[in-house]
Amino acid sequence: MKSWFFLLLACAACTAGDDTASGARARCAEGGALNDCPDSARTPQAACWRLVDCGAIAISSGDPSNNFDWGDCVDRIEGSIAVAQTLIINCIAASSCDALRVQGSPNDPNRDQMACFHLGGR
Amino acid sequence: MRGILVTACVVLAVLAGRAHAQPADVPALIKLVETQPADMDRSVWKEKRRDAAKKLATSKDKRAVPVLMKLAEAETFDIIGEISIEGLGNLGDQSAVPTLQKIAGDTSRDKSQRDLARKALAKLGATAEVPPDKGTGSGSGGTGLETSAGGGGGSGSGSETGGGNGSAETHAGGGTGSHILDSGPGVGAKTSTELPPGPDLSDDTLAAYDRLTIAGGTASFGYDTARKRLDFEADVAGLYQRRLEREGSAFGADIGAHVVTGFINPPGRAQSRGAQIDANADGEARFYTGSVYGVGKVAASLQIDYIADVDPMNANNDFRETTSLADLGVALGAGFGRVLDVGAAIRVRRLSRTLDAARALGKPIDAATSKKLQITWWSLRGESSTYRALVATVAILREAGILLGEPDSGLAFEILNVLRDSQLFVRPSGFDVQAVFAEDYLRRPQGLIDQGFENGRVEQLVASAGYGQQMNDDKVELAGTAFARLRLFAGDTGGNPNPSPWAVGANGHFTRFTYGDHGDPLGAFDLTGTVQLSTDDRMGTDKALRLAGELGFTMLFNQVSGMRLAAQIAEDQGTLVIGAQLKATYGLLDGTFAK
Repeated sequence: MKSWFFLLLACAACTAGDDTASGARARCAEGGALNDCPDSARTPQAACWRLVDCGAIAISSGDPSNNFDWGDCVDRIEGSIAVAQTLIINCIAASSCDALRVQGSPNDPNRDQMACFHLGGR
Repeated sequence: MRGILVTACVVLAVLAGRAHAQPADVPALIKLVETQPADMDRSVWKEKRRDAAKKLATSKDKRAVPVLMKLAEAETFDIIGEISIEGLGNLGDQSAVPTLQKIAGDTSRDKSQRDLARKALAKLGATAEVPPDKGTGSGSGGTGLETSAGGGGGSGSGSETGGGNGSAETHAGGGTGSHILDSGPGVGAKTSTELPPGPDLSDDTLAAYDRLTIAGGTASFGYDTARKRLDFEADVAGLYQRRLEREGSAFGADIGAHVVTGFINPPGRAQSRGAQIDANADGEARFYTGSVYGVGKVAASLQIDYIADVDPMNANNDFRETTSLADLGVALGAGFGRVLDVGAAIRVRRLSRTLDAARALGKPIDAATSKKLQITWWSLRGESSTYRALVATVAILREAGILLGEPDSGLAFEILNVLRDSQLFVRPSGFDVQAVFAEDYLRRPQGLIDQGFENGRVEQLVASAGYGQQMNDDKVELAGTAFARLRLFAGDTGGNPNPSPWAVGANGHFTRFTYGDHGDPLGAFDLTGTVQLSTDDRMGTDKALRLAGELGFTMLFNQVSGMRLAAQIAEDQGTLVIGAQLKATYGLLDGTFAK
């Protein structure tokens, strides 16, 4: 049995109001195979952190524009059917960072181009 | 007054001398050796019995000879056997010669016992060779005598050793070749099995590993009759890792492949299918001068994605994409120190502590025996059962004279716990720091190139560090890693400078492993902290700092029950994420009875 007790996502922007916070990058965000990162854990949260680590999405979009950010990513995965969740998480976990980036990454990513989400269907 | 004091001192000295020279109560000692007192615990008796044998061995009393001969022959698994063999040499009685010759020539006995018998024979002025005209035919305690009849003059006899305890012997080809395991003392029925060959590790090898992991991941296939939906998904990965650390050099290589594939087909037009295939390989070579080293690295990867997602309503919204990404990189640099995986060495140390606690450790486990044990475990890593590892471990420890006596059921269980301890994999120790200049060639899809992401030749400076320390009888681990990377020579494109991203980060963790009274792993408490600072150096992004931590507790209740409770917190650019995770399974092992 595995369950998330609670998940609290609070956007307490230190900077002005609705600025986008793109988030810090991991070692594997740039530089190719020499900087490879291990696969991420198989949870929606860990998969979405990998997208932030890679510069594919922002940690917080600042809401008004409703750009696809970490919170939207977790919602998108958890709102999918079980098999789709598994496919999306596994796809993100195993991808290289460059394969996860799309047009507009990280602040305004074109979610229609995010291949791993398409693998989970619509 | 002075005269009285002198007299008193003389009287005391005489009394002390008499007390010291008082002969041992040989009949009482013999009785103690042969019969366990009714009011004495067996383990206590075994200790006292050994002490009694030591006293008999130094008693100079001929009445001790028959009982020591009997012990020397029958006690092949208890240190009392060695005490008796040595004692027979000290007592100087020639009647012990045939018994000692038999032991010296008995290849089913430990080498240390045979060597002791040869030394005892030398003290008696005899050799280990049985004269051809004498033959042999005596035995005691129901133990037959190994035949050594030669020249047609002697009488043969059946051979049987061990006095019902079984016997054990391993023949290790220099500690690295294949082993022949004849039997397992006290831990099961006899078996005669050739162990798989272990690695050939030279004497200057500091550490080595060879890991093959094939992860089935998840795989499912289902058909929902209510919604008429067919779905399938699979996640399969394989990874081979090999590394050899020597005093003057180190070589490592990793080769991996990963496939994620799926198919979802609900009613109607909608359908999604796809596959992601990753393959990667990397290698590293280091050459040391003292703790300083030069390092060369190479890495390559290939990722191919095929995704097709059919819109249920509008064909114009269908998504189909096939992309491929390829990387090839080489790096040269220098560093200091090294971090070794010392998990197998910790297993040896745990084994030593287990034997010591059970008062069964005859002497410390030396480097040669430690190496032999680890190579044996390595050779048996593919076994689904720990049986042969247990049998081989006991045999090696007995042969080296480290394990005193046959392990009883309690000690055998504790040894088994050490051999099965999954908390001993990947336990780092040491410090390592390195900096390399890297030249990569990246092949990226046009879409990424159009957005200014790196493609073609990329130069970068990469620094990394690692640390590991095992403390508190190896129950506490402190470890960490750090990295830094900087894109170099980004250059201009049409007057626009290319991004020159950089990032630094560090990760540290503290783990406290817990065990039960008999070595059962009970779980671990862990604390992890991470800090990352970076910039993409692109429009719309800025420097970002992330601080993250996790506090977790894993507890194993029994073989089918366990729990992990973890709390995470991360702060990144003013965004705070707090989470908690509970993972638990609980089950009662069946209690059953049948008549």
